[in-house]
Amino acid sequence: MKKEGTLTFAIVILIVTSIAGIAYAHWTGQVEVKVTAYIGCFTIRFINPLECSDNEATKNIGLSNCYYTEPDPIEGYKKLVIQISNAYPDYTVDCNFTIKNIGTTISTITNISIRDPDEKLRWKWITQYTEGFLWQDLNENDAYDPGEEIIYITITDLVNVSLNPGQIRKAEITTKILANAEECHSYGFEVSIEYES
Amino acid sequence: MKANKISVLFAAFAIVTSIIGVTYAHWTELISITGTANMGVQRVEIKCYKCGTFDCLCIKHSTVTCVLSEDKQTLNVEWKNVRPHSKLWLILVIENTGTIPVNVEPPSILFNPEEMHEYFRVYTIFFGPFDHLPQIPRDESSNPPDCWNFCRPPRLPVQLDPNQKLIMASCIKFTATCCDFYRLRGTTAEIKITLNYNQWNLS
Repeated sequence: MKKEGTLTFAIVILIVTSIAGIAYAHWTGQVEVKVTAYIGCFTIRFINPLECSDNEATKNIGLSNCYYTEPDPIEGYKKLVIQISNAYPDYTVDCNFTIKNIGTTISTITNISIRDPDEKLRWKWITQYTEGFLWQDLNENDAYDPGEEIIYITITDLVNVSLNPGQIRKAEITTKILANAEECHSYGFEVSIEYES
Repeated sequence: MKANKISVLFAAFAIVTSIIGVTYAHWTELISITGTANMGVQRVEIKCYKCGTFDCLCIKHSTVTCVLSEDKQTLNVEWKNVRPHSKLWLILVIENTGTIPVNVEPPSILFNPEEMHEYFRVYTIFFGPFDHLPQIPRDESSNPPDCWNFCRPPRLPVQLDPNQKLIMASCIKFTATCCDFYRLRGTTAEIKITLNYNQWNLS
């Protein structure tokens, strides 16, 4: 009984809509449907200022450099590059960068992941999304053991940070070479900052 | 029939557009930070050396042979016919051939046979560090500032920057009594002198 009522109601709506449509068509002579789908733009990019410093007070042994690459046609850059050379245990490089929401909708940072592109080192968080280290499986037991830490990284807690259009946020990433890093070696890492609207 | 087709098409278009919109809204994008760290080299080598003996009453009894190891970290000394009060002099020029400053500590000196170490006394002093090895003045008119460093041994450990040199002078004195000497007579003393250094900013 209920089903029949619903069906009847649907048919009535359909008929009424059809009649209205036909009436409108007859009245205007033509039916024009215009659909505009405006999709908001959400984009976070690195912008200046960008500053790099190290922990050397009296000597200039280790060298550090940081710069942005992959410019966005609208504003800012997609990638920050940190280069460290002649590094040694305890050498620390501090990089202050700036991000900006250059889009038109609110963007939220959802995840930060760190890895070694060469897969020689593995990542372990000490405090989720802010502090951890890259380690090398020196004894090849496929598990982290104390004494295998190579590079210690801290980064400003950005996860769940929402940026309004045009909003700017300063952040910091610190890289410290640890005692187990081997001389004459080259180590790499990549920090991905994921965001969505 | 034609109107029905248009309605169906329109509805399908609306649904597809909605799905695309929802999907797009949940796209995740990323920005990235890439880093590379090239490590420096920590290395000190024995660049050259001189060995000599000095025996009692200026009569040459003992003989010494010094051989540098392949890695230039150890000087192997073979000292024969040692007598009481014999002395062995070693002069080493040490250079930081790495890219990182180091703190040079007194070398580790090992004797073979091991129990012989109690019959030897070792004195070591350093001179430097030098960017260039000092020129000893040949006449009174010259007054090289390096001489001041040369005359005043530095405090240990000695900080040695890349390319800097250090002179290490060691005197090893045989202090055995006559009784010990007769017991040890015929034994050759083998001495290994190995450089001892660590990164300058780490204790």
